[in-house]
Amino acid sequence: MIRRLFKLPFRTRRSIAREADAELRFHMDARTEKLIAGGMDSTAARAQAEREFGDIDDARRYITAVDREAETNRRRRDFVGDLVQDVTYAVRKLRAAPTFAIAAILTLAVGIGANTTVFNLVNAVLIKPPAVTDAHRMGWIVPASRTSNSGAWTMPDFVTFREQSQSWAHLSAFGNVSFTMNGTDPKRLTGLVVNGSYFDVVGVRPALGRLFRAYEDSANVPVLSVVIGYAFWQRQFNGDSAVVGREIELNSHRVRIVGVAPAGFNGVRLGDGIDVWMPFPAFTRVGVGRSGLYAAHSSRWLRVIGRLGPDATLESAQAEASVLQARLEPRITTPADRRTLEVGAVRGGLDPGSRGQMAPVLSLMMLVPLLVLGVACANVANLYVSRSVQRQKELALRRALGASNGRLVRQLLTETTILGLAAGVAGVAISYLLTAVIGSVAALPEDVLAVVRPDATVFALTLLLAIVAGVLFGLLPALAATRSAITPALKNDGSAAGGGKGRHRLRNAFVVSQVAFSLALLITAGLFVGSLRKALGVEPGYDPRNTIAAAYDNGGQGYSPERLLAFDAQLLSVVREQPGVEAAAVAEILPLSGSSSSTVIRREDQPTDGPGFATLANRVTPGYFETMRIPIVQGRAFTEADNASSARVIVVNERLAEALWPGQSPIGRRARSPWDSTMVEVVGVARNGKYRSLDEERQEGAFWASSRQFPMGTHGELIVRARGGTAEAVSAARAALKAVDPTLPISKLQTLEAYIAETVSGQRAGAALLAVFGGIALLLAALGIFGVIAQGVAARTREIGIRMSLGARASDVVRGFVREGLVLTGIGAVIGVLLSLTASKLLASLLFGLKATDVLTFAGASAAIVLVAAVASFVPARRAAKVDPLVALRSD
Amino acid sequence: MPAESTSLLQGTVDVLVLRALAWQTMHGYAVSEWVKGRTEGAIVIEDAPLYKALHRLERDGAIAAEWGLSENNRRARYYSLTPVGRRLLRAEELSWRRYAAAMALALEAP
Repeated sequence: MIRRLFKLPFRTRRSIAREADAELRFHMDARTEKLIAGGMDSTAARAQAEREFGDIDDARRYITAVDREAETNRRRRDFVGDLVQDVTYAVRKLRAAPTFAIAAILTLAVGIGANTTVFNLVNAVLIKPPAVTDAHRMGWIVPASRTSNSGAWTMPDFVTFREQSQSWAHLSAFGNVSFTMNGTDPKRLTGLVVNGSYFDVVGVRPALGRLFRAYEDSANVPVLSVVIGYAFWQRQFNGDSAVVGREIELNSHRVRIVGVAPAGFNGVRLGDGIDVWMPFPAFTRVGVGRSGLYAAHSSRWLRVIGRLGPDATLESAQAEASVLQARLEPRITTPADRRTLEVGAVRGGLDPGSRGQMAPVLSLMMLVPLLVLGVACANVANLYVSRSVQRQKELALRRALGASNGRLVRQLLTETTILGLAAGVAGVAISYLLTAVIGSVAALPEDVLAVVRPDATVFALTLLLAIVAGVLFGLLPALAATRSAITPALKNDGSAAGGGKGRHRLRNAFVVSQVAFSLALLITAGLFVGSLRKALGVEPGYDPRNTIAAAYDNGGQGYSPERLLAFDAQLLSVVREQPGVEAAAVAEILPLSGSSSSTVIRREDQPTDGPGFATLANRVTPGYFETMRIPIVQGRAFTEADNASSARVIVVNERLAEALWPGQSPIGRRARSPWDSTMVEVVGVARNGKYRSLDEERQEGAFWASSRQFPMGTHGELIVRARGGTAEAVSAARAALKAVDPTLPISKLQTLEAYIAETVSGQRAGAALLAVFGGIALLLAALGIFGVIAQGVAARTREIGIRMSLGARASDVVRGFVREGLVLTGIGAVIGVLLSLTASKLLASLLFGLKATDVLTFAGASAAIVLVAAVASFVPARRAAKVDPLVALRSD
Repeated sequence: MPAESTSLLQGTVDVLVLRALAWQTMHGYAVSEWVKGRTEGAIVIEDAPLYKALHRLERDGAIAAEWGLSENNRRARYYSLTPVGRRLLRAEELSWRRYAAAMALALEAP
């Protein structure tokens, strides 16, 4: 007990030996003296004493060894005891100040929760490998060119590459497709067409049955086999283990389920959410609409992954690929289109091309919650400084009673670490909440959500973050506390309790950095919101109101070729009879729907193998421009008279007209159709529009052909405009599709306005995230300013009293405090603006129609923060004005 | 004499030391004197095992040590009994008395 309070200094090896010597010497001296006193002479007395003692060297060795052991035990006991004592004490202290504890924990938890959430997303998208075996032995092989980052392969190229490459033990090409599962309740399934070695590349084991075998790569297999996804198995078959061997009907072809992929395996890309894997030969029979793609030289629709051979590395595979690339597609002649093969690691849920696009956005997203955490930490540090001022007396007392500096710092660190850990736990909870919210806002599919949920890595990181934050904001006040002198605090001198100049400066620095961080966040948020508004304000080139689009694919219905050809005309005639329908048309591709088809068009006088003009192409039924309300600025739109027996015609947009026939009227001019190189005549010019995204930087060329002359594939978008609104259009579309073929599934049905909103959903999510984080940061900064001013008022009550009794007016006192708050804010704001300016380069590429240094946004955000700061300092300052001089003077 | 001292059980020294300190706080030399006086030379104990016992008992928490000044103003290491030591002494005393009684009974038997 005594040792606890007044801790004995540690005994070293040397002091133990010294003490043993002293003790034994004392004994020998005392005994010798006693014998001398009894009448012996000194030499005999000494000898007698030594004889009585026995082996003194052995005893010395023994007792020093025992003492050292005891000392080790004592230290161990003290450490544990101190820790227990520290923790108990800290918990008691925190419970005694619940407001402080809750404020600190929540503030930190918000910062940590924000970080965990975003780190989860980044982890899932960029870092965490997909659910495959030994992802580090796998690689993407991606053809990249300057004009395209699609990274897609043609089948012949893949076959050539596979034959010549030595580096890979297994190579697989795959393509995303979709199927109709026929039955009483027809469904669209997402599928992946793969070659037989696909499952060897990813190295997974089936949950049930078997995966594909090499022979399934050869044509003419007797049975068409498929592997189904685990989630689909659960959903459709309720996890029935008798599913293996069962037959289902895809696109009106019977296929046999041979196995179930393991749980959690959804391919190597995030969000693919695959229901069915199918080998290529089977697909040539089942995938009616796109089967031609399989062999076509020009179709780039495949991705390629591989598993490295035993001696190969990603580097050696890259070297080999660089050599092999020259042997692929010798027909491509334009240098701009020449591709280089790039080998990339399998990491995160993206292929290397998308990864390159997403990485800058995600790094920015990573930065934002770190800023929030910075603001939160500054706030908690501030809370701690205020608190250490209040605890000055307690700390001084404990030191006066003998607690060492190290011991006090340890005590404070224990407190902050406990706070940090509590905040870490709360932060994980907040992160779960935020992930769920973001998931529902951004409509993430289930398989993505599963990946995005926090895992062990993220949890470890959160705890680390929590402890680092705890130590960081706890250390400064702790150090400040040990530096302060004992006596002034014990005397309860007001000036000392208010904290020295250093303490004040520290707290001001926290507030300044808070303001700077929050302003930087607000400016960024403002820029994103502004950019979003600009994007949404963009004229898409058509009128999306009261109009819907229903997507279908009739390739799986087993129609005869004649019925396929006549399908859209039949569908439109039914739709147009529905009540309320103003106009309707079918298009192969819907603008701003996420899909597009780009090709190269050449004028009549340009050689077919020479350079042409890159353009978007679409095939539409007559009535398309009227339904979409795309103005025809010259010539005419398609009519029913443009049919298979009449001259083939196209409509071009203004941009394409200007590119092909600059300064001339394009009407009556001729060009080569990119589909079959036959001549087509321009009959109309349509107003320019947005086709791929609202914020596309340059105007793209586009042309339309009539589906009566160039039949579209099996995928169609039924576009319906109704007089009475979208609900009317929806029911009309449903009724018509049902009337034409009740077994035809609708894969997507939504308003054109929703499609437009979807194109900016990324920006919207980003802007929302930034706005929320900016708001949190602003609130935290306001609390910080409030705290500092309130603390100042409390510490200077006596001074205020004196000034007021000497005749100072209340308004002067208030003004003084508000000015103090505003000066701090001003300094922070300047730093924040500078911070934002340095970040503007990073931001510029993510903004649309807005400079990263937009003056209005900067001014607006700064004004907002100054206003908030003024309020935050005025509220506590007003309290100063209410000070009663008499009471203030008496206060200690 | 060494033969006699090694024949003494370690426990004997321990219980004597504890008994000495139960009387009052004292330094090692005083413990030695006390044992010599109380056993009246019947048992001769060397000082080396005495000191070993003191430090062993200190390590085990039965006694506590502190430096102090002796009667003639010299620095000496004083030992005192802790609550643990007091309990230990009671237990040892009891088992010694039982042992002694049992031995006496055995030897008196015809």
